[in-house]
Amino acid sequence: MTEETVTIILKNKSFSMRAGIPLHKALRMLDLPANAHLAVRDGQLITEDEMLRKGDRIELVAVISGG
Amino acid sequence: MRCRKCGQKAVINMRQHRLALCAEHYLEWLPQQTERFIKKYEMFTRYERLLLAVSGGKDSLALWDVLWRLGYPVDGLYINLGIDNDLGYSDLSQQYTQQFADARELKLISFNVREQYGESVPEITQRTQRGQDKTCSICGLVKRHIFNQSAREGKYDAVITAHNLDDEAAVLLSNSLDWSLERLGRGQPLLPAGGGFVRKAKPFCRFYERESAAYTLLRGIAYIREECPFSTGSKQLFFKQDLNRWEEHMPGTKLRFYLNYLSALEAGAFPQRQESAAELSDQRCPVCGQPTNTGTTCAFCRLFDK
Repeated sequence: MTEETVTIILKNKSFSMRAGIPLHKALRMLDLPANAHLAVRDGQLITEDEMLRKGDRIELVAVISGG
Repeated sequence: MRCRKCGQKAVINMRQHRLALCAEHYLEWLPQQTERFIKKYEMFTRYERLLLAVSGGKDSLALWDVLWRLGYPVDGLYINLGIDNDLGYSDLSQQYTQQFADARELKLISFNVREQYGESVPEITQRTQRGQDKTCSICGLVKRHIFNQSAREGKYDAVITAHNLDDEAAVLLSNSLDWSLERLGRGQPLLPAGGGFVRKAKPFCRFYERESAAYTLLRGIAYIREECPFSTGSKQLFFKQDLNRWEEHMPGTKLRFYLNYLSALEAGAFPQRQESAAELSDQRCPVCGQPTNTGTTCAFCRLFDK
C-alpha cells in the first residue's frame, strides 16, 4: 500500500484502492451493494458519502445472512 | 452527511426513510421504532411471559438488547443444532449467546438437539430421505417444533423471533414466485395463538438487516459473524442479494414490497393463518402432542421414525 491508497478489508480479503473517492464509489468499483455492507474506519461506522483518505483502513461488515 | 436530529456526523444513512442519524440518536431511534411496531401490531405487553429465539447472530442479540432496554421481561431460547464444522459453529454461537445473557443477567434456556434426540440436525439431514440437500428445511422444521414445544411447556404467552425485513421480503419473493397462497397468508408480523400454536411476533420485521447490524456494532455486542456453513448457495440468500441490487437502484423497494404486501394481506388478498389454525384445533400428533395437519404423526416426529 502506498500513501495514496486506501485498504478495504472484507472478511479475509483485502483490496487496495486509490484515495480521494467516496465510499459508495469504492463499493461500486468492488461490485458490492452499499445496502448489504457497513463500513468501519478507526472503530467508527461511516456513511457512504465519506471520502476515503490516503492511508485509510476500512473494514467492511457484510450484513446479509440467512439460510 | 449529518444527523437530522442534531447535526453531528451521521453514522448511518437509511435511504428508504431519507434519514441519517448519529450514533447517539440511532441508538434511541431503533428502540423507539421497535416499541412503535410492538404496539401497532399488538404483539405483546410488559406483563406477559415472553420467549425470544436467539441464535448468537446480530439480529436476535440486537432484539434481545432492545427489548431489555425497553423493559420487556424476555427469556432467551438457544437451540444447539450440532453444526460442527471447523469453527464449531453451533458451540461458538452458543458461547456468544451465553456471554450476552450473562452480562445482562438474563435467563437463557439452552436446548441441545443431539443430547435430546441422539442426532444433530446435519445427521438427521443425512439420514432422512426428506433431508437430502435440504438442511435448511430440516433445520427450520426442528426449530419451529422446539420453539413451540418449549413455549407451551414453559407457559410462555408468546414466542418472539428476530426476523428482519430482508428475511420477510426474501420469503415473500419466494412465495410470490411460487404463487403459494397458503404461505402468502402467513406473513403477518403477528401470528395469533391458536390450534396448539403459541403466539408468534416479529418486532424487527420493518428494519433492514443493515439496521440491526449497525445497532449491534454501535452497542458493542459481540455476535457470530461467520455464516452457517449450510447457508452457502441457499435460495434465501440468492433472493436477498437480488433484492439488494434492486434496492441499490430504487431505494425503498424492499420496504414498499413488504408494507404493500401487509396491506394486501389486511385487505383479505390471501387466506389467513387463523383459518388453518382453526382446522388444526383438534388434530394432535400422537407422539408429541403438538398440532399437525395430517391427523397422524407430525412432520417433526416422522424425522425420527427409523
